[in-house]
Amino acid sequence: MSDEKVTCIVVGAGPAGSAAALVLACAGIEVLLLERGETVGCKNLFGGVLYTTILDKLIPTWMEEAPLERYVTRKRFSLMAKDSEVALDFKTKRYEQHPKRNFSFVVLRAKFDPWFAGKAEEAGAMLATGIMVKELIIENGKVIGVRTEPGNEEYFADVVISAEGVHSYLTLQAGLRHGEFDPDHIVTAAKEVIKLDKSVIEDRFQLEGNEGVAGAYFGEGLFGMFGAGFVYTNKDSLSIGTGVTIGEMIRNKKNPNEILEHFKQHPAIRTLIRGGETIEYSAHMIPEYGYDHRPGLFNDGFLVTGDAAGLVNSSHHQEGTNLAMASGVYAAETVIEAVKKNDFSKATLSMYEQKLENSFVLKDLKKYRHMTNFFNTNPHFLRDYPELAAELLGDYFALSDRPKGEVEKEVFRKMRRRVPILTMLTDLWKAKKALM
Amino acid sequence: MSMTTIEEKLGTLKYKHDRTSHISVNQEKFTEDEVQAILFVCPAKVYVKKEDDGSCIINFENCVECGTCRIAAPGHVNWFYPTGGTGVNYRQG
Repeated sequence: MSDEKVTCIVVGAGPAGSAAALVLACAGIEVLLLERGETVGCKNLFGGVLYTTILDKLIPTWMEEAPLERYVTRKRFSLMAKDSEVALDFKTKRYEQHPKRNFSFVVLRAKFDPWFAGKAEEAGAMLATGIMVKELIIENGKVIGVRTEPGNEEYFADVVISAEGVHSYLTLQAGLRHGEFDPDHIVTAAKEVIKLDKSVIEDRFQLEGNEGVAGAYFGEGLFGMFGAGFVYTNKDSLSIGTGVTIGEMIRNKKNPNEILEHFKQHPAIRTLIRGGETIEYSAHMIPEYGYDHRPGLFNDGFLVTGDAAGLVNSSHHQEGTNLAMASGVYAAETVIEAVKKNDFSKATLSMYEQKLENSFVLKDLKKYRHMTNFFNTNPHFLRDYPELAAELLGDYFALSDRPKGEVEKEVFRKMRRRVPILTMLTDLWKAKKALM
Repeated sequence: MSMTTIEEKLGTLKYKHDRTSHISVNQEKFTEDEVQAILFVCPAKVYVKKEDDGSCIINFENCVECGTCRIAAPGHVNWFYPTGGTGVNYRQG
């Protein structure tokens, strides 16, 4: 295959890359999908919930075919204090009636990704695994191919789509991002898959049949640092982990596994994983630089998708793989247009960014553009407020023979003493601006 | 019981080791505080300080390929993907 030329090379068989390859193959365009893992999916992981609206358009039969774990019927947002938990718990039966179960499914990526890449292959994409793209081949400023290991081989194409993932070396080489990432813009998550009996999971999480939980945790469980913990229910295991910005870990001298273990010891978590057996440990970076720090998305003969483009909605919505799939589709549609015009210049490929701007992908990133900065400049938010909330609720519900009116007054006095009303209102306003 | 230490957790992973390391560290700069962050931010204990001369041992076989070290000590850690088909093989993901 070496030294041959195809129309399009896609680097990386994750959700973005496989979506792009699938759309191109369906349009009859010659596409080579290169994956550095020995098998597809063996380098990939996320929390995680896969939102399947884009997948639904690509493969309408996905619900019957894809390796899915559980669909999300319960969402929890939890503030953790030292010995307490204050949570918003939404549990519903309404998605049972939804034909596609609200498009929200917990999946395991080493199982899902091979299935999805297989669909691209069935459609006619050439999939090659165990091939790591080490650099782009650039001629007169135009990307014309890639160089790979092992073997230092060269593959040529009219256009290269990078679906390389968070490391995004190719984006750097193409001159679309400058310098290394800010440690405060990148989260490193450590994760464990913990095996438990199906019936134990269903009892413990109040689930029936194929229902599942997506839980997000903030505050003391992460030593009050900027980041989130998560608990997701698979069929017969839990996906549990913690993600904190690298900047926070450096300042607080914390190791990702130390944070994860601290989280697992919290009373809100340890009862959920009790008796479980760790069957896999993993770690991965999440690009959270958002709208304002995203790299250039296109160049002559080159497009950037998914995590490589920083297309992650790191707000409380915590979306990534659906943005990745959408970007893969838009990149492929752009290439289809470029093929028609036989023009792979950046002028033609700029259509890709337009498509992203017009879609939920960049609209959502734009909406939450201030979030990362907000938490980085207001560290007291996740450090102090969960603790305060737990303390005040603890006081409020503490039983005594004192009249309730007196207790109430005291709780409010304590609150005002800890955080002056004006400070609290300003904080709420800032949080609203960053998150809503 | 779920596991607690990095050492036992790494035991859950399947690897196909490359012959050579995909990581290198600027040993001359390793004594600087900001570079030593790699000792504690790595989730796989790849980096260990050698007792006698204070240099950095690189257990690249442990690497789970997150790349955190590269962000923590830019310019001093040269982390790149292991050769295609080698490195960690997640089975759950």
